[in-house]
Amino acid sequence: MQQTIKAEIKEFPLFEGQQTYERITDQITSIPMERHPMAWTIMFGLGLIGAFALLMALVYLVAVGLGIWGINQPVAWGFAIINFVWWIGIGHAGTLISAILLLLRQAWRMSINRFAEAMTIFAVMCAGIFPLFHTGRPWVAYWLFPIPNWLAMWPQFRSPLEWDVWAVSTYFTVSVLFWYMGLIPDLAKMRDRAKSQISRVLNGIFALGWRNSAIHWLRWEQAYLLLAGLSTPLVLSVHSIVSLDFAISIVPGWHVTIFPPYFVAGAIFSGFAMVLTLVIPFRILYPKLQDYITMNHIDWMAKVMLATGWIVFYGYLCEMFFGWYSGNQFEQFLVVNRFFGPYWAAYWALIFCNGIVPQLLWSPKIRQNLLALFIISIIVNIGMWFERFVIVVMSLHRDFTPSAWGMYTPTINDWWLYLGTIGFFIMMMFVFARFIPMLAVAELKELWYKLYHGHNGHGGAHTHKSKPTAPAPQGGGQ
Amino acid sequence: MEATRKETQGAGEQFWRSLSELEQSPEFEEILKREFPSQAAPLGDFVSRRQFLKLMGASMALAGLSACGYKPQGPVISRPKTPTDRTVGVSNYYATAVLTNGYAIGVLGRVYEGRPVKLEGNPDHPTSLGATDAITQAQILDLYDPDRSQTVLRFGRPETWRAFEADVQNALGQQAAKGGAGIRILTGRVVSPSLAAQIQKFLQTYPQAKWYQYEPVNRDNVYEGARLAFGEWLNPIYRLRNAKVIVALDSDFLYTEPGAVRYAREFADGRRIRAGQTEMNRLYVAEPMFTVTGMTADEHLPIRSSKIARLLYEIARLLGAPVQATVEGELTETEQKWAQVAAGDLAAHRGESLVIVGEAQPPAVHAIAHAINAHLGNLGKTVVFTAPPEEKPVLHMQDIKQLADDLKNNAVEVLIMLGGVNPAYNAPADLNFKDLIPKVPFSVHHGMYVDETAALCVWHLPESHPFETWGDVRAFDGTVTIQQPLIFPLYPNTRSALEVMAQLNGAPGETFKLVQDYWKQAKLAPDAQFDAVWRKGVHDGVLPRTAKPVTQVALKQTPLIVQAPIYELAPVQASVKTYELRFAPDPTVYDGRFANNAWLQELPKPVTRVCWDNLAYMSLKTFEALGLRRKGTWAFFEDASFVKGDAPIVTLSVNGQAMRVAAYPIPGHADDCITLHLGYGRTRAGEKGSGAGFNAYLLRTSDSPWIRTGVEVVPQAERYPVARTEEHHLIDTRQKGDIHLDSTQHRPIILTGLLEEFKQDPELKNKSHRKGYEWKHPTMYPERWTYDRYENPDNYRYAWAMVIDPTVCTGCSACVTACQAENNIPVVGKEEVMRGREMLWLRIDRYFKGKAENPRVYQMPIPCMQCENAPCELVCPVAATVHDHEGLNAMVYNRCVGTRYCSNNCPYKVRRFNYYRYSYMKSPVLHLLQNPDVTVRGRGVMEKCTYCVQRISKARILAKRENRRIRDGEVVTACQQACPTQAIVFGDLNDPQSRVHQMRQQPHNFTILGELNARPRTTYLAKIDNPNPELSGAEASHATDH
Repeated sequence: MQQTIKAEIKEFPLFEGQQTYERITDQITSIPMERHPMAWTIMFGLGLIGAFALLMALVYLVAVGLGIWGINQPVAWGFAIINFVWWIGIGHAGTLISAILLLLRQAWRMSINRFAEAMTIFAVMCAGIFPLFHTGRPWVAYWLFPIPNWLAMWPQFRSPLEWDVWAVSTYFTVSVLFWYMGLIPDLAKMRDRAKSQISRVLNGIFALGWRNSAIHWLRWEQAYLLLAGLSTPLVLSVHSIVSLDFAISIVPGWHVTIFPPYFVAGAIFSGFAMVLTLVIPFRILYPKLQDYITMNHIDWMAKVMLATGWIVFYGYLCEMFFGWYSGNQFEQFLVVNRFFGPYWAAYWALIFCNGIVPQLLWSPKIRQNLLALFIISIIVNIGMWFERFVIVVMSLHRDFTPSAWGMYTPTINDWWLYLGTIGFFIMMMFVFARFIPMLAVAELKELWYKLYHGHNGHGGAHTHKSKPTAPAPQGGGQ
Repeated sequence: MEATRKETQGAGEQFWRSLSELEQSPEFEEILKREFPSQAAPLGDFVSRRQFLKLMGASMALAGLSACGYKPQGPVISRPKTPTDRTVGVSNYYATAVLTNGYAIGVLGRVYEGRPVKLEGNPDHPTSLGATDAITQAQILDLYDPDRSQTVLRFGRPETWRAFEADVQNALGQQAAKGGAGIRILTGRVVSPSLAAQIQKFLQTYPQAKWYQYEPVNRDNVYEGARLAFGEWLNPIYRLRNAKVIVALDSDFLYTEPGAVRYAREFADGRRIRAGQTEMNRLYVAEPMFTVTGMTADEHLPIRSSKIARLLYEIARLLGAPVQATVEGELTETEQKWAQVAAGDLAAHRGESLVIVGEAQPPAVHAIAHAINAHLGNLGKTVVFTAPPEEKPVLHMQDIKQLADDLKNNAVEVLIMLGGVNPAYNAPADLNFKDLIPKVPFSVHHGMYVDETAALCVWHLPESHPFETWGDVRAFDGTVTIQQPLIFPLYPNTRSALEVMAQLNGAPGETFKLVQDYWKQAKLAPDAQFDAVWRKGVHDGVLPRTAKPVTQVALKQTPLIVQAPIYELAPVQASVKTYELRFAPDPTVYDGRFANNAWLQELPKPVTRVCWDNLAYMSLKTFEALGLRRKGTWAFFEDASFVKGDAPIVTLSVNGQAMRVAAYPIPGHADDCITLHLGYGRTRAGEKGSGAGFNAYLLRTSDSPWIRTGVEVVPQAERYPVARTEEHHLIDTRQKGDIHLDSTQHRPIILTGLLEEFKQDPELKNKSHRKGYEWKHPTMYPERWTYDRYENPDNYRYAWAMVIDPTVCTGCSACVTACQAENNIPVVGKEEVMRGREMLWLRIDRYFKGKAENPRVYQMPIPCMQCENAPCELVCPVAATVHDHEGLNAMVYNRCVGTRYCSNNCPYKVRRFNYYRYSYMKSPVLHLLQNPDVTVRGRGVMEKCTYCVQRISKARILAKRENRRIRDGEVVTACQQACPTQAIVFGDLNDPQSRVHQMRQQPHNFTILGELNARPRTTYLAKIDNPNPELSGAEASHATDH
């Protein structure tokens, strides 16, 4: 295994520039401590405005009612559920990179996992807003939790919405724990390098008294691996459960057995797209990151997108095939209505964004072109949003009883809330960049050690232009 | 509390009635000084207008409050359920009547603690037979309308009755010398004997005064037609039970015409088909646009109104009926064939057939129909004639013209308009009442609303609602109902027309006394028995022996020679194509008098499914010819903006009169003509009605009130948003000219068949609906809902179920409004309907089948199906919708958090969601309307039909107390009770004797979307049609056997 990695590393270096252990620490931990670029202020400001918009949208919503949205009968779920599924999907990349790629020993994950996990947590926060506030009476939404009460009234556990509550809250909890666990040695480094008293104290508190002792490292390694193991099934479970919101129902277009794997693939697809959307500008904003998130990382992420994109596209083809093969008039009509019905534009936008555009990633040139990748990743994000639109709205708007058919048009308030969550997300990402080491320093150094100074010898490191000059691995916090 | 209430009521009345009283009252000054010593002086000396208004506002509010819970005046007599006296939470029923379509329909008002909340049909009343129509159901809302006029106005400023009385005595005094030559009274159609007597008394005092009656929708043509045929004005009454073949020409006798509720029942009785039966009546309808009658027809023919005369004359000719007429125009091949077949069918059913002509058709056409009926021997069998039920039958169009002439000649000095008559809005446009009324020096408008006419008058007098006073009204056959008050007047300053006339006659009195005195004088019964007869009459809601006797009639000449009117079909300018315009009363707001009734506004119109609007309806061909059809994006794709729906604005103009209106294509409409409903475009109807729709009266003239030819149509660039509750697929860009049906055709939604098919195969096994879709799913579970009947034969559970028979459903929507009234269903308004958020628990689905030119229509009421395997229950995360032990799919409003997942998973989409706080009512008076048995739902909560569970509970309580089971027929749901055709049957499925059980055993019972195995408790009988095999029968057979 180590050999394979090394062979790959020869061709696709994971580090750029002249690295030392100290330099890795310096480069990454210095970012929160330095003066931030003007762009940070602008982007944070935009995000803040968005977050306020979100707040106001929610206040207005609770004060006035769901009527401010475009939902109706028959389309009783609209933007809220679309956005919920979209954000949850985006929140998939983090855990996947952290857990599954860790278990699969994908060395390249080390440089993006912290970033992706942070993105996951913020995305799940955004997602969580929607199911709570899409209820007609959010002030009693706590009834979805099994809180003991003297009426002995429990939630109805057969409902997939109830499963959602558990799946999403578990996912969020484990993601936060996992992220925080990885942060502890790095926070200790921050504590030790802090220039201000406040930073020292705060980082010190969150570093939980990390003293860099061997037993700390041992315990930490064990805990980290355990959490990785724990979150692995969650990667599959959370979006499978979300897909069951639809699959359990009897609505044509929702009642589809391939939904769980299809949703998980779609989630990974969109998650990687979002990582790219964020990483590319962050690399430009913080050039220090370019040594660790190399063009190779970007190339690999593009390849993952291409692969998962095909799984998703296969899902679309399956739906078409099932529609025809089922012999069921409702399913057949569903396909016809998707192709030619009043929302045809959304369907063909989906096929264009998720089926056709990702095929550009076959070309290595495009995978090396940051601008093209950035645009493609945004298109994929849009496409994945349309996928949820197609599933949620286009299935509901024309189901069994033609007399009850209707149309759905989002209102300004739908958009406001949606853009508000994007603003909140941007704000949180920039807060993250401001206060927390964006990459996992300890893990990167470990990787560096394993690659170039591991017990298997020096490997191909000597041929590498970024040959390390430091003689020995150094612990954190020096 | 009681004392305070009395006190405030007293004070309120005192403030309210007269400013002078208020100023002078020493008690008031005393109170004021005690309370506000510093303010007493200025108010005592001088009251500004502002202060006056403030006081008035306060007293109005107090007066409104004090009204609740008070007993009506006079000895009202209840129809007691148990117990006999009033009990809190237990309702009483009082018989009374409302005017619908201009004539009385008997109702029972359900009253809780002095406030009526619901109307039911009066089974003893000849028009109602226990059922109602939608308009009747909705009239309870008018009672509580916050926009009702509450105060006397002089030039728009508040005044007192006393001031009016003084002023009017003065004005009348000046007329006394001239014998009242300058006095004109304008009323609507007067069907109240006591009111007519008061008016006659007034006319005796002022012999030169004149009394005119005007209704925009009137029976002029019917009476004149009878005169042409029989030599006198007569009112035809149909005996539809005896009719095997009915040919209705431009007549909506099942919905808008007087007696419709009764006719619908009689018609349905000849149509209900059960296993083993082989006979059904057959209905032929020729009309320009689908009506409720037309949608029910077996053979429908779209034809311009002006050609009906030609068509009918052709039928007469083929039958050899003794009539000679000059009629113009040529029939097309289709029309010719239709006439032949209809004539053949009529000839084969002598004495048991009927030709009906609508109110809009000119008298000559009615005369031809009478000749045919006489020729076929139908007189006295399927149609009888009585004297007109009006107290003073007149030709309304002539009356209004004469009044206009009088006004033009400045012959009118005192104009008294009684009973909400509104000529400024609804008189023919050529008479120009808007300019004529202000010319009168002393004009009085008396009505429930400060409407268009009131705004032009010197005086406005607030009218009380019929549920607040005593009165008497005649039904279409003359039967008199004594109207009992159901509530103490909500606004104490209102008076009925009867009171106003009594006042003008110088003999004011309480309405009870006025009405009773009249009937004493009219010798309702010998004096000794009067009390008993009166008591029974008031109790039953029907006065005995008041129906008009049947008159023996014969054609006045043989052959009958009539001159049908010639319609000018040629355009004014040869280069411009012109169209024919047909006016019709609106299916819900009628002639505009119900324009401020939100229930009626929001009720989807039976044919078009449009609410809150009237539109210019035309055929698709005409719509396209006018270039109004919007082009689709690309050939293959549906245009979202079109599906959402808005309509192009056009200008209709003829002879210098013009109006803007939105054009809307509708299947089955005749080409080259436009149907326009009256009753919209009001400017002073109230908060709900003002500004809705387009005013069709602008094009109506006194000479051609119903059919207008030579109308130019000019498309405009604007588009108009239309609220409708059903998407239409008429102008689908993919389907050139055909109704887009591919989405519905193969769906197992409605099972249809022809009578011939039913006779051979009552189960209709060969229909695709049966094939593959409706099968018994194999299961190892015991039958969950019936097994305990065998284990426990004495006390098994109830299993509530409903069976609906679309064969007799006319789509009249009475059930929908009844459901709304019973279940406190809020109104959401046009905007919200356009967003697809109407709240009606019960809807009527309407599907077209066949060519757009003349499709077949299928309708079925869709309540909650109460599925045994309910998809909604599975997905609710908080168990807010659950099954009860009797099979009801219950909705626990308090538990609902509003995820709306249940609605998404409901294949029938019968659930409704409170997107806003729809139940909120600004005006507290509307709270009185709420049915106390049903929860008022708040914001963010899902709601739906629960088979009127409150009625089930009521029956259960009663049954338990009497230690017995609930009897079959004891629980009647609101929709079932209102249904004029008794298409809805509800009951206990576990009881083998119950009607619902027996209906479910019918071979043609089917389930909507049976393949989903949701096992709905609501099932349907197949819609059986009886088209003539010679006409569309063969084609229809092919079409239904897809």
